[in-house]
Amino acid sequence: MKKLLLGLCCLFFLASAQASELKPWKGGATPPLALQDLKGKTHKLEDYRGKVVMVQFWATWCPPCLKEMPAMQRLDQKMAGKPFVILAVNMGETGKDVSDFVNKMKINFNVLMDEEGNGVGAWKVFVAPSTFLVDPQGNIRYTLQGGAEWDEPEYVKVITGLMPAK
Amino acid sequence: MVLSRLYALGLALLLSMGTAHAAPPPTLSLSNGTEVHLRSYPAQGDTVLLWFACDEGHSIHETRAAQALAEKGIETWLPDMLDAHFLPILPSSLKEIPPAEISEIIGLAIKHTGKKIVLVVGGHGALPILEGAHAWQGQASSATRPSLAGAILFYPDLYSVPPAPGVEAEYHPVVTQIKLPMFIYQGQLSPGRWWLEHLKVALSQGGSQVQSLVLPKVRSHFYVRPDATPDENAMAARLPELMLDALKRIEPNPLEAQP
Repeated sequence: MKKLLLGLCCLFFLASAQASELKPWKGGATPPLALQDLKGKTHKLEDYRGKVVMVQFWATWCPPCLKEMPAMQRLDQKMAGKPFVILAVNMGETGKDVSDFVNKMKINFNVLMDEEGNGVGAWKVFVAPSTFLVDPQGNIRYTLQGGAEWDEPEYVKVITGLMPAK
Repeated sequence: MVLSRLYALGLALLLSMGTAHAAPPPTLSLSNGTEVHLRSYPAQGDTVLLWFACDEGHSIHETRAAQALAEKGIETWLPDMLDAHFLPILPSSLKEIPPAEISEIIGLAIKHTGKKIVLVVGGHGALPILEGAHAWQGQASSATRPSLAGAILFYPDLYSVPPAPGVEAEYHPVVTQIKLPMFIYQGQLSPGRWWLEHLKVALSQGGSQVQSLVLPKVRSHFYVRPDATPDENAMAARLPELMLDALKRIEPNPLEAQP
């Protein structure tokens, strides 16, 4: 049993260690994204030109996703009035499941529904959560696999650095 | 009358000696000196599930499944590869298993039981197990090769390196090289669900016949998770049924038998 507990602790710390590193994007063109939110409004990535967009793929069944949601909420509040928007793409769950979760967590940022996995496929998401930071010109600049405390200064600095100069 | 009864008894004894095999050994001694502790659940049927677990026997569900399957005539061997290599009891540790040892264990299981072998593994363990199976196929005679009848893979991770977001994932070369009937169980609550067809296409390039089923309301590692939900526990209790269904599906089609 001690061995099992030690293993689970190692797993937790490994997951935490892997969770915090933003990696500069070395891939190709930004894939398209056009998905509806819980109210049926379609959000297209190109609608947000001029803003830094955080595209995050998540699910209610994913513990690291749930852990980082409050930090995303705080980041969204911290960035109020600045050219920044969060598009949190739910991976394949029902509107009711997601709606219940959003209401419980009092989430104010945009939550989009990807019921058929089209966004997951186009953006090549293999792990939940996976996050992409898109610059005001619509180019992916950084990715992060796993959860993060998004309102920590290191992330805020990177995001702010992508914003257009005044 | 007495003589004919004695003759019948003797004949029955001789026949049973010809088909019966000794009880599975408690330890598998490999050629490289590795000693692998083996839990086995013998049965009379013609199939052995060679199940590479990650929990050193702590899992209630795997043990119950093996017991239930034995009652239905399916024998199960659970070699403890992690303990043999002093690896932590984690699903990710399975990727450290040397494929050469898997290959040797497949050979030992066939030699010891004379039965057909079906491999069972989850997640990261799928890669070394398929590598081992592929290596075994390469050295087995054409007469022995059909004894490795297939593999049941739970939420397999067969990438050559952990895939990065936004980047095309690469499967390990064995994915497109191996030819083995397979059945994949993928949890609905996993990004892997969206890549299942992609994986099946890659596996079929080597000639493998691959079937799959998405299991509703469960995550990967559902039968070993310490934080299992009621839906995951309920699905884990169905492991014997899932195994039997998968075994039926990977039965070789006599018209299209794989060498």
